[in-house]
Amino acid sequence: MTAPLEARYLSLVREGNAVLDDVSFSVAAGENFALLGGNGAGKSSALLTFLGFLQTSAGEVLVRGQSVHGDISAARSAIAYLPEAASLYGHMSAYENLEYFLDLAGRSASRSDLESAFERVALAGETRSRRLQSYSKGMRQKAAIALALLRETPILLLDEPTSGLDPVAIDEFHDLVKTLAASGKTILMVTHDVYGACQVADRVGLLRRGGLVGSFAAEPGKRIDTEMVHAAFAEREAV
Amino acid sequence: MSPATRIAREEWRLWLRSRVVIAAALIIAALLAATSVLTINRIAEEQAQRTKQQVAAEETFFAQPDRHPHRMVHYGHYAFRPPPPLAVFEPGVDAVTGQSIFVEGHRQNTAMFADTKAAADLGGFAALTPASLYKFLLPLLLIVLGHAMFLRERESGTLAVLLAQGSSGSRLARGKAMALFSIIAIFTIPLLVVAAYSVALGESVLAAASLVASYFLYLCAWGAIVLGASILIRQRAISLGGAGVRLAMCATRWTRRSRSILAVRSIVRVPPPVFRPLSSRSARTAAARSRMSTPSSPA
Repeated sequence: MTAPLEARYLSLVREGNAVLDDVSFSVAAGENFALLGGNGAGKSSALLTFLGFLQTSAGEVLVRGQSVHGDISAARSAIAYLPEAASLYGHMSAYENLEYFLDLAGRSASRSDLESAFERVALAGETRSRRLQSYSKGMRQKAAIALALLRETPILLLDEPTSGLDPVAIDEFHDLVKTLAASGKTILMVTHDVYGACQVADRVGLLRRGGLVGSFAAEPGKRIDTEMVHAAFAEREAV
Repeated sequence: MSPATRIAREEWRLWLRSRVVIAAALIIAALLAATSVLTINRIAEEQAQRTKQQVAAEETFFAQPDRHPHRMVHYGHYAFRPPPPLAVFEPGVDAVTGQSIFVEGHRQNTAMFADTKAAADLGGFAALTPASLYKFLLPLLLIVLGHAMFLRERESGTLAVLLAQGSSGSRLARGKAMALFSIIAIFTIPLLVVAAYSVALGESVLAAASLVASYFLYLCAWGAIVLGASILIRQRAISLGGAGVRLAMCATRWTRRSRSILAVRSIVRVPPPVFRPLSSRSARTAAARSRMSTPSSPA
């Protein structure tokens, strides 16, 4: 069966520096894969290659079995991307943001569709009409996830999704990601949060200086051992 | 609604919710209204004054006793150029080329009362007209509105989200261009009104249409430059602090120089009348006779 996301011998050079070096991994349908690494490890770059934002130096990036650079629009139409800053427009309300982005994506959503998406991400009703410039980062994150839900894409790319969130918001976010994974979404998440990755991911890959140096999978019915991953992460970073 | 129209609509929503943009647009609209009223009054006043002078000059000319036609020619006559109807928008090169001329036989006199010869060189700022606002302030408004059109999306990360969900860069550019174009179109409406008013007062349709078309194209060129800068420049500090200021300086220089450049070009194309010494014997004789019977001497 074709993996929704696959990187084959992926190398990436930017401004003379090797950002990714011969990285290969795949994410199966319905799987939640977390790429873990320190600052500058190449996590976000790996994620952006799936959207065709970065030109690979060698290797291949596939979305649903098709090369991304062969048909970028097909790849992008299958992916919902959540950037680190949960980028939406501050001068618009949550409703207006979602309507605008969905319009441009060629999707239409009724007010009740929007309401139900906001309900799923637990964005409080009275805040939905407020402009996003008054939102906390956690609330913006919820609005961005609601957008991803309404696009109904099979694949979700999350870039440092819990960065800057308070502990309560992180817990809420983890619950939401687990729900999404349970509903069959394929999720690729890049993060430097070892605990969070182990909480929600089915599999964790360790990325260091552009190379994939380790991988940990959860046993059926269990979560990944945080201590083990943390030790491996610290050990690799110390090298 | 097409995606480009949707993008343009959202740009308008941002502008309407931004106090800075509203304030800038209102200031320009108020200045435009004020300068229009002032210029219309000033031109009407000049028109009345020149008509009065012309009538006085003609009365003086016709009040002379009967003389031989050739001698009459040597007495000369003042001709005043009335401001054209389009002068309510742009007084044109009137201040450079002069507004009246003394017409007399065997001589080609230069035009008189060119205001710029008797004034400091303040360029387009000497007299604020609707045209100078269109040449200077509207490009500045376009810079304020458009310098961050793409940059803002790039800085806030929304550009990545838009592209990630299938919007192409060219579609975005079309939408942003449409928003800027709509601003230009709105500010072209007063121009159309002025053009229609001028045609009603007797201006040629071609001249009025040329005025509207040239200002429209001028503003479109500024819109394209601003949009291009927003796409190419990656930092807001460079965009507003460097490119924006440079663009504004270009606008200022252009405004200051355009009138002089156009005046010089028009003079090169159509040389103004200059005094020419008379060379032929018959002409010298005629001039001598003319000097013997100057207007002040008894006929």
